[in-house]
Amino acid sequence: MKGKVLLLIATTALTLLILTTSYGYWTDHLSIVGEAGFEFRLPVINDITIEDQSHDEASDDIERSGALSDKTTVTTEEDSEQQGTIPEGSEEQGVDESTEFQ
Amino acid sequence: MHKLFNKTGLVLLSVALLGLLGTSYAGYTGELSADTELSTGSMDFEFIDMEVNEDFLICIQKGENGNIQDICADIDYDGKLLSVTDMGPIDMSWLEDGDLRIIIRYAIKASNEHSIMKAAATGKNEDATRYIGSIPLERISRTPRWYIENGQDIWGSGDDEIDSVPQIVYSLLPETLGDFEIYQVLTAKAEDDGMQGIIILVQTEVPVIIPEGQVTLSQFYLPEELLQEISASKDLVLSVHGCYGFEIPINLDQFNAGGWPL
Repeated sequence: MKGKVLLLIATTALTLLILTTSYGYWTDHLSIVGEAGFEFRLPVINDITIEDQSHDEASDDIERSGALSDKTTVTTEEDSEQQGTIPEGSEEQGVDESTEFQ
Repeated sequence: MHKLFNKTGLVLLSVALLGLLGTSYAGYTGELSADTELSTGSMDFEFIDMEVNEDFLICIQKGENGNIQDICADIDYDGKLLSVTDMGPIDMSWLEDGDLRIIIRYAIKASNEHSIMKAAATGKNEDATRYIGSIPLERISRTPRWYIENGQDIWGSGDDEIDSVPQIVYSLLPETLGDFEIYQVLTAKAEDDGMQGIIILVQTEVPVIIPEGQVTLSQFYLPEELLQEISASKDLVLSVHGCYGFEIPINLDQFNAGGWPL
């Protein structure tokens, strides 16, 4: 019985010794942690087509007069110059090539 | 005699020997505190709390002989840990030539007079620069900031109409900026019982920063009203700000027995 108690005490002491040594080793180092911000700039191609409202109104007048049955989409000169390729999947996100802005 | 070498006796003997081993090692490395001896047997320094641009300094440099430019940062001290956050922002064009150097100057002090005297004595005989190792600068999970501007108006991070960061922004930011070699210079400051350290991060490779292809406005999948507003502008420019993290262990082995050769 006495031997078992001594064994228990010795085992506990050994465990504590290892734990404190390990804790001290891992926590007592100096270190520097950093977070650096990096930035870059890129040109964005405006590939969104905007309908010219004045042209739309004119089209509506023509429609009302019965001379034109199909709706006509008219783009501005600026947008025509900047228009690029619409990536795949744009329709799924609700951004359509012929999105009509009012 | 037989009882001395039974199981209990051997365990007790092992504990005693381990204790003696730790004490001997600590004694060999010159530490006086029993706690410190058992913990590390070597480290007895901590960072000095100081103001930016006083002792503490962060700057960037193009090449070893390039002009040095100070950059802003927030610093926080926690004894053994120095946290440097919100550094920069640094334009990624600095990385294009593969010779960017990030320099961090800090100060440490010894917890007792014995240690700093020993450090000062050994430091005088040491080579000034020591190579620590190589670390990568990797993108951390902090939300990147992005803006589209036309010279007059700015849209992007912080706008109420935008719920989240567009996926295209994440895809444009590189995961890593490559490896940096770390060098350390430590010099004893006799006047105030402290030591000044300089950490130099030296770029070793050129990362792929600018993605192939072009960025189009429709790739941002912005709300329709905002898209209408932005698309009415010419000369749109996207700016993206990403955050990259690193951790550098400070090596002070030269101030302990068994460290640098004297």
